[in-house]
Amino acid sequence: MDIERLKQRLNAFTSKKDVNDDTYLKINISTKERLLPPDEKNKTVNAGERFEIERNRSKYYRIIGSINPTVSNALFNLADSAKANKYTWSTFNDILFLDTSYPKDNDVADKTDYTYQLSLKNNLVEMDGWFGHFNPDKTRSGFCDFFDMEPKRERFSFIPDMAPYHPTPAQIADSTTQVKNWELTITYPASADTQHYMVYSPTTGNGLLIVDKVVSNVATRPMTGFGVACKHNLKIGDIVKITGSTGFDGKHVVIRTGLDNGDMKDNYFVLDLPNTGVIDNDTRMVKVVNDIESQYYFRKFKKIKTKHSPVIETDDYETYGLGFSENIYYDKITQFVFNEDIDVSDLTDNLGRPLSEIFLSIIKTDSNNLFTNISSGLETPFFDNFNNYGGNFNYLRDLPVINKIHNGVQLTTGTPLPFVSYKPLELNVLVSNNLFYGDLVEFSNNDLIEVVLADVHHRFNTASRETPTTLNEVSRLQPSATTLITETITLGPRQEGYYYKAHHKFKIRDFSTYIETGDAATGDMPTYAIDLGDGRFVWRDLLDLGFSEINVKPLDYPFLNGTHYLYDNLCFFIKRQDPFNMWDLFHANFPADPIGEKITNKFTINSAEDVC
Amino acid sequence: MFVNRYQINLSSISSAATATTINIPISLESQEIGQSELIDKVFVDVQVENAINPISDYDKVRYLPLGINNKTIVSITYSLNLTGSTNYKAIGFADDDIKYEKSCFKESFIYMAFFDSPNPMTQRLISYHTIYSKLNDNDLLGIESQQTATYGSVIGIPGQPVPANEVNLDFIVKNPILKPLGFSEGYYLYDYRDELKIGESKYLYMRASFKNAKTGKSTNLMVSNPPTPLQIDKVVHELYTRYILTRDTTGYYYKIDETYHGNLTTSGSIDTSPNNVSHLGNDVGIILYQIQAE
Repeated sequence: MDIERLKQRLNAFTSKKDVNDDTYLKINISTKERLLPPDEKNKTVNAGERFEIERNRSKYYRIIGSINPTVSNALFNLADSAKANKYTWSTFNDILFLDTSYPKDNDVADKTDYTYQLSLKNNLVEMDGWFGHFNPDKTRSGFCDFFDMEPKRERFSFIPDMAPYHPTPAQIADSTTQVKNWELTITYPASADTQHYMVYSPTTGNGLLIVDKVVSNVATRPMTGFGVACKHNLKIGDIVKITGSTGFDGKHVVIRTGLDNGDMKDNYFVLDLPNTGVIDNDTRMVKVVNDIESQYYFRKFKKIKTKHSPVIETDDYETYGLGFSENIYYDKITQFVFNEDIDVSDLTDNLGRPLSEIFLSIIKTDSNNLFTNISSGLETPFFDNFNNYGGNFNYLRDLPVINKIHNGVQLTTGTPLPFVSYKPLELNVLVSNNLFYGDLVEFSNNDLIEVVLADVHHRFNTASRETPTTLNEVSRLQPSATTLITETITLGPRQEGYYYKAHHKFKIRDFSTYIETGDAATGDMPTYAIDLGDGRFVWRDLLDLGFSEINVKPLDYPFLNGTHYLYDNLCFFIKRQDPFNMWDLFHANFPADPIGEKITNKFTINSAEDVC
Repeated sequence: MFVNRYQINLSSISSAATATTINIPISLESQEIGQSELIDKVFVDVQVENAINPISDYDKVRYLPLGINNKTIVSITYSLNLTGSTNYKAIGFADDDIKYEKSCFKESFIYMAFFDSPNPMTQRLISYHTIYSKLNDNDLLGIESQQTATYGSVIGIPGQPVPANEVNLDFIVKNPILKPLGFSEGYYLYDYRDELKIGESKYLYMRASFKNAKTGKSTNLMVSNPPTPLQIDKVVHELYTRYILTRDTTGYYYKIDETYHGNLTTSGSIDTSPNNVSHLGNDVGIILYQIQAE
């Protein structure tokens, strides 16, 4: 406010003759606004807060890890005409293995010489899980050298193969040839298959297919146990709805899980029903909580994007041997490093939520045409019905049971098929694909959590094993190697192959343990909130990294250089489809594949669940 | 401030019985002048963001060497020529030093310093490698018949080292995947991940010296072998081997420049003739010479 200073001199002070008159002044009242200077501003930056801000703001991930493989080449090739049958079943029929004379006299007439059968028995050796043989010529200086059968351990290595199987002339000429045995990529759950036969049919809708029913005795009361080919995620007291059966339909309380002897608790559940009903090709179960039915579906994983490319590429990672590192079977441990930053910004999962988990997907290559294509399926426990090939159980072939998948086709001659292959989820999995079946999950609006019921596995075999092959076996001792009398035996095809778990999870964010509820007017409601249809919306908050909820260990992994560093040591098992001759894939005819030795249950005691 | 306007007629005053009074209301209406919230939310926060250093990426990546036709290099051989001496015997090593792999042999090494510029006034050291003396496959005696053919008689047990005068001053680094039994330290280069964007490239300049554990002397090396000693001001152009670091969509790579001559010009254009770097298949050879200057 400006104030004008006015001074009025009275007339009497000017002259004695003057008198003071009334004087009038005009007073203007006006204001002017001026911005006062702000106070001195001080801001203290908290390093911890700043770290949390930057950490939760970053959407970039760098992934490193190690792979600890457990592998065996128990299923080796039958023959190899291009390489004189080296490192195959047929190689033991070679005169080099049959003639044991010292020095070699090039016949199989001596009492010490071998027939093919003896040659196999004495030359085929297993060392640390790897089948092979020593140099059959004992006069050679390197007779202690051990030669792997094909596929050799180099064909399973995560380090590229420098001496690949059946190299092409170009590969031979190139000293830098490297053939990848595996491809690694990063994927995330992007979509879902809700229509697969295992979880859906048009008549009964969504639900897990029941593959078996058995009589179960609970405290002397006969009840009925139902089996599913994946985890059922049920516990005692849960409500389960049965559909598509004869005599079992309706909602029931789970009395017990598992069989009477305590086995297969994850796959069998017992209902208080007389075993008089019938299940068929469309009998399904659904878990029900608060009248809300669970949904079952396959998640499909999609290749993720990187900072610089919309889709991760096969040259975005490196693998190399981890120094001085091997497992107890002397298999080398491999380190993998993704050189490109994984970018999860703007990506949502199959439920429209921000990503909370990503996966390292491992895909077998054909290793220079050594292996067959890759099929995918689920690792399931063994049910007797899987080996029942009567018409009543043909529908089970539509289940993607990894142990029952093979590439065999019915032959007009030669070895007949063990059985018609079950239907794989995917027939030819390649790293160039963009979507992969990832796992089978259960989701319910009641708890808003996807529970994994089964992981997808990949199956492969060697092409040689699936090729019809015969061998003129030397079955008796005889004087000349040039005119050997032989008997023809059938070596194959052999449909048993290998399989492994394909996708390995990296958790990047946690969902809250609390379920939030709101309505259409609720502010800050996430886009992925689920409309229950009665005006309510429910969701789980995505927790900040490092945020701790009661009794829940917060997710915490290194953050530096503006990116998150994910690390994991993966134990990677490559298994046989039928090592114990349970799944009808085992080749039992002479010469039979090596049979597995089961671990006895000396230290494991199963017991039926206490229903009380 | 809002002020009401009043109009007073003189007639009304003169005819009034009493003095006329007028109510002049003075009112204030508040207006926003405080901007502290704006300052806190916009100014302070923005300035805090500006004041905090941007996140630097200290992650390093591995640069793979590429040779002809962008093929992976299998091995890189650094061969020394110390004023004509190209084997260990010639620089003072005895046969037993090699045969028994004495410390004076094993602890002799070449030291390679990588700079971001060839200008010694402004250059910065980026990284360095050391490669120690090591016997290679061709430094071992063959079987008896081969020894007889080579030396006229058997001079040692097969597998033992050859005499010192046949062990070249070669320092070989190999691809650890293709040649897992080789020595691979120095095969890869490492640099910060965000140094290069896709499609960009940069240079590193390598200057080497040989540390002789037998004599305790360090010998500085250069890339040419002039017939006569160079003038000192010209030596600076002959010190460096240039490495070209590149990044493309497939990864991080480096090449060893085969035509770099310190960007010296001959007859008005940059000299692009071959230098001390040579490719033989998927192997690379680099010859380094003892500095000769006057």
